[in-house]
Amino acid sequence: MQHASPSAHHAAERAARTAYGKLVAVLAVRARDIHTAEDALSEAFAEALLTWPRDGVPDSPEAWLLTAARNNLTDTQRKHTRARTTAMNDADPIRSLLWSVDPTSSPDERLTMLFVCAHPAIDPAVRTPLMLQAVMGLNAEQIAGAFITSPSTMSQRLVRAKRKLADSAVRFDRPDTDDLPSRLNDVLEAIYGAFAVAYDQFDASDGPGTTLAAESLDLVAIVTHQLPDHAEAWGLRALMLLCHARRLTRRDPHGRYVPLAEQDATMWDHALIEAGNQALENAAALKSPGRFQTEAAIQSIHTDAKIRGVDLSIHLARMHDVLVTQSPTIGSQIARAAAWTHAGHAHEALRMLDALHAESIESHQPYWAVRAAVMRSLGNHTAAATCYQRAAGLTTDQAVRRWLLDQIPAHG
Amino acid sequence: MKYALIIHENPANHSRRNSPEAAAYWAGWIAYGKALTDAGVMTGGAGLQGPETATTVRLSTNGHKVQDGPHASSKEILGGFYLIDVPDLDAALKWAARVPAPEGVVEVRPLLQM
Repeated sequence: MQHASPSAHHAAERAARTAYGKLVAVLAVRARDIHTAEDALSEAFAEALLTWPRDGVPDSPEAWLLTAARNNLTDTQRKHTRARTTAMNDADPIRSLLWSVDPTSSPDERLTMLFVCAHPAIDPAVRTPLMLQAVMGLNAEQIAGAFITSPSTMSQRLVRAKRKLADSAVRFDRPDTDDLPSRLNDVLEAIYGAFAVAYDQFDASDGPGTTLAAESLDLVAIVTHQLPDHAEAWGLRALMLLCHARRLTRRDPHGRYVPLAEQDATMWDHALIEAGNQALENAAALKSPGRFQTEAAIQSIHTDAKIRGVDLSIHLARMHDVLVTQSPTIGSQIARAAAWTHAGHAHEALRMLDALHAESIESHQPYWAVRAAVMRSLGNHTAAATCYQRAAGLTTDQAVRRWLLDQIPAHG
Repeated sequence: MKYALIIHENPANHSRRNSPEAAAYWAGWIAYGKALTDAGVMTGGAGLQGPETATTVRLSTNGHKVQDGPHASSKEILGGFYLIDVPDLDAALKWAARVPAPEGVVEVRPLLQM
C-alpha cells in the first residue's frame, strides 16, 4: 500500500479512464449484461473514493476495483435470482465464472465486448455510442455532444440497447466462424465511427480527441492482434494510423484550418506513417480486398505524393473509383468527385455530383465544398462563391467556416 | 416541429461587429442564413442591435421601473434568434451546432402551438 494521500481521487480517476473498458468487459462478458456490470463497477469506484484516501491507494487499483465490483455483482444477482426467469437467473454458473477470474491478471475481453456492442440486434446508429460508453468509458453527455443529440435522448437509446442485449439473451461471445466476417465488419465500422467522433468533435490537437483517437487505435490493434487473418481489420488500422499521423498539421498555430495539399509533410508523424504502410502491406498479403484497405491505400498515396513531391492525382482518382464500387456512400461519391477535380477532370466531377440525389446533398457540407472547388476549376467563379458560402453556412467547425469564407474572392 | 434557436453570443465574438473583422463576422451569419433558407427550414427570426441600445421595463405591482441597458442574466449577449421548422429536436440541434457564434450558447426551444 502507498501512503494515504489526497491523490486517491486522481488515482481512482486515472484507473477509471485507463481500466474502465477492460473491467466492464471482464464483468459484462460473465454477467451477460452490460448495465449490471457498469452499475457494479461504478459502485466499486464510489467505494474506492471513500476508502483509498483513508487506507492508501492499493498496489493494483485494477485488481482492487475488479474484486469490489465482482462482490457487488454477485450480491445484486443473489437478490434478483428468485425473481428472474431469463438466462440471467442461473446465477451459480455466472458466480463461478466471475470468481474464476484472477483479479491480478484479468484477461482482455474487450474484443468480445466490441462484438456485443456491434451486434446485429443493435440499431447501427447506436453501435458506436454503445462502444464509446461500454468500452471507452465516455458518459452519455459526452456521447450526446459528439452526435449532437440531447443527453436524455442518448441515455434512452443506450439503456434501450443494453436492455435489448440482456433481454434477447445475446451471447456475450465471439461469433461463429461463418458469421465472423460480417460481424467483424460491423465492429470495424463502429470503431471507425469512434475514431471519426474523436476527429470531428474534439479537434484540438492535444485535447480529449487525441486520447479518444488513441483509444480507438488501441481497439483496432486488439482486433488485428487477436484476428490477424482478417485483411479489413489491417486495412482499418492502416487507415487510422495514416490519418492520425497528420493530426498536428490540420490546424496552423493560429488554429486555422489547413487543407491536406497545403500541410507541412515534415511535421507529420513518420513513425505512424511507417506503421500504417506496414499494416497496409499485412492486409494486402491476405489477398482479400475491401473498403478500408482502399481508403488506407488512398491515404498512403496522398502521403507518399506529398513527401516525394510527385503528382499521383490520377492514381488517386482511380482508387476513388474502386472505393465507390466497394462502398457507394454519399461520402465516397463526393470524395471521388473531389479526386477527379484534382486530377484535372472537373467536367467529369461535375457530372458525378449532378447525379447525386438532391435530397441527400441539400444540407451536406462536403458536397457544397467540393462543388465549389469544381466550379472554381471550371472558371465559374460566381457559382463557386455561392457554393463556398453555402458550405460555410453548413459547417459546425469554426476553422473550416473561416477557411471556406476565405475562398470567396473579394467578398463584400 | 417549430423551434426557436436563441443565440447568446460570447462578448468577445460579439465585439467583432465593431472591429476590422466585421466583414468576416457578418459573412458567417449571411452564410448561415442562406443555408437555412436554401434548406427551406427558416420561418422567421431577427438579429438584435447591441445591448447598449437596450432599455428595460421592469413590471411590478409597486410601479413599473424603466432602466437603460439590457436585462443581463449571464455574461453572454442575446444576439438574435431564428425560427425554424424541422422534423424533430435532433434536426433542430444540428442547425444549432452550425450557428456561427464561436464560444457562444444556442438555446433550442419548441414554440408554443397557437
